[in-house]
Amino acid sequence: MLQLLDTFEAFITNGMEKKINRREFIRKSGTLGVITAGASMIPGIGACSLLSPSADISVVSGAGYFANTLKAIDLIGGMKKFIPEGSTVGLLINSDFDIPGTYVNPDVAIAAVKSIFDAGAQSIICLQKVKEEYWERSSYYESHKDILSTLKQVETNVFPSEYNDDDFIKLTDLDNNKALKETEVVKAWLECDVFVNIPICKHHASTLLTGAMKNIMGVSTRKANVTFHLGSGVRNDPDYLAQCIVDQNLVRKSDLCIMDATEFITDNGPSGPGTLKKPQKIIAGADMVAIDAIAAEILGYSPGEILCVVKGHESGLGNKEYSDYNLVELNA
Amino acid sequence: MKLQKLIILFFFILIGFAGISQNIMEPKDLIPANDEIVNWQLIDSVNTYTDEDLYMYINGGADLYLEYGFNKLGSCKYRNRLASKIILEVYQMKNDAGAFGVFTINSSGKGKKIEIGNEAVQYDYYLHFWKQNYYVRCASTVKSEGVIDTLQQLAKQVASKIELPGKKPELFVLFNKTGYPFKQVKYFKGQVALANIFNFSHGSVAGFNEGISGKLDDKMVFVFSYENEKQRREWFASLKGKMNMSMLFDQYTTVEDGFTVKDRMGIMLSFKPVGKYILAIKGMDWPEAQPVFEKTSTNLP
Repeated sequence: MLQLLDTFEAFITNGMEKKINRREFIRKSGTLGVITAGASMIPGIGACSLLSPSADISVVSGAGYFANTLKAIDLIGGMKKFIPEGSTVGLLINSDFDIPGTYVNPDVAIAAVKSIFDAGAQSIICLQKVKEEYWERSSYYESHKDILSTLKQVETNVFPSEYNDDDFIKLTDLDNNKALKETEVVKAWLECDVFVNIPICKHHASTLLTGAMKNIMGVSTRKANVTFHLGSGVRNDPDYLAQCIVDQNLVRKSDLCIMDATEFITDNGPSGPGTLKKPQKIIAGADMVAIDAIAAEILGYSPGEILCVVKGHESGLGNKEYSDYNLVELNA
Repeated sequence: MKLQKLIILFFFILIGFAGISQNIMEPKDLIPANDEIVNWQLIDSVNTYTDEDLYMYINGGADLYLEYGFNKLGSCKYRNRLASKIILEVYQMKNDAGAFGVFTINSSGKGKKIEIGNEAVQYDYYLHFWKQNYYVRCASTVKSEGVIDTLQQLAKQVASKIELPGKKPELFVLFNKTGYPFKQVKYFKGQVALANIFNFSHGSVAGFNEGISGKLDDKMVFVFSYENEKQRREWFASLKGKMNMSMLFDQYTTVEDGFTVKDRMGIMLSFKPVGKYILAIKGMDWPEAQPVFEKTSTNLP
């Protein structure tokens, strides 16, 4: 509650909030960035939403990524809504890159970790190993060293990961899936009580968008991931790749997504280096398809151009029509 | 007389092989050693990846390089005393066109042209160039003053070890002969690269061997080249069907031997078959596109 009040105070002082629908979202300029600026011209709107948080998806814009991540979580009802007391949380952070704009800003990830522990989680396990040097890139590292040191890790899930019986499990009974009939995934992903997905919005040469759905390839072995690319028998089959990504997400959906759309590459993805864009946005919500649809627009595509979004919607993984949700945007 | 001809032929084949072996160097042999770069040290050894092993190096995105004809990669990292890192990658492609193509697709048009290799572009924390059948990229993990000098130093060292400048694909040469001031010219070999230039509705433009695109202000011109006219005819018929049904385009209209559609932003696209080529222009309606189609197609064989 205190956190919410802190956020509210910050909101009253610094920011403005506005509930928007999709038509409005796109109409103002075709990009989300300008909409935020537009919203900031209308003071005082939206305080009621903060007092009775009911947003399904939040988009928080501004320079303070750590604080904005906390705000984004608060706007969708707070972390307690997603984390039962004493639960084990599996955390998947897209962290294993070196080049600017290719990995989740560690400020965002540290804010998420803090929020999860504050909500009463017993433990957090990083489903893909997060290296110490990743955390060290954040100015919040020193002040959060203690909680970061308690994070458990799937040590062997580091790119390019290989199967081992201790940490991975082979799933061979995926007959209901359209493309992915078997895969190898981290056991802890299936065993954790809550799965929190922390992707970055960035360009990807094959799928155009690396977002929430694509991030799921982080829980499988490299061998399994290569079959996503080559398994149809045709090299570079974008349909098959997208369907495999969706199929693996159907094994277990994210309970919460916190997407970093603060600073990212718009070409040469996913490894970069590439052209950097800085929309400074954090998006939070439970529906990864809707979040990827928003991310697609931030990146400059229509959701219909991103095969994962289209197939995720068709497969019932989520709803690409994010205007169906209560979406709240805050310019912090 | 026959034997004489055979000997001459054999002689030329030998020369050819000798030439190839002289010009093709292992990527790892192009990477500067510790004593060649001041204040920077190689971290570990140079890693080499061949063909589909590239998936073990690139965490997503290997498809693009494989599409362009990837052969071998040499990759390494350098570290300085401030613990900054530089990543150097030397991609050996199967031919010069592949190296040129990767260079064009990875160029955003926002960098600064510099004199390294055949063509090079420098950005604020990385640079890349192509020379012969090599595509080379070096990037710093941090933006810091002075790092660009080191990147340039590294790139020059690599470029100096590559013997030949490299040849641009014929399609590029012909495209440039139109005289139009094309910007951000991209040479592509398949769907992955094409989707990164413009999304023609998930593979509706397919079957081409190679293609090229260039920007004319806010317009964009594409040339797709097919094996022969028969194949082009088949793929064009398929393209018409797909564009007519596409969720991303509407207002499909047949005009003369081509057709037009509008994309989701209301921008017109015009398509025209010419011999073994399909020409497409984004941002021009059919009458406006005609002179551009004509000028572009006169240079195509």
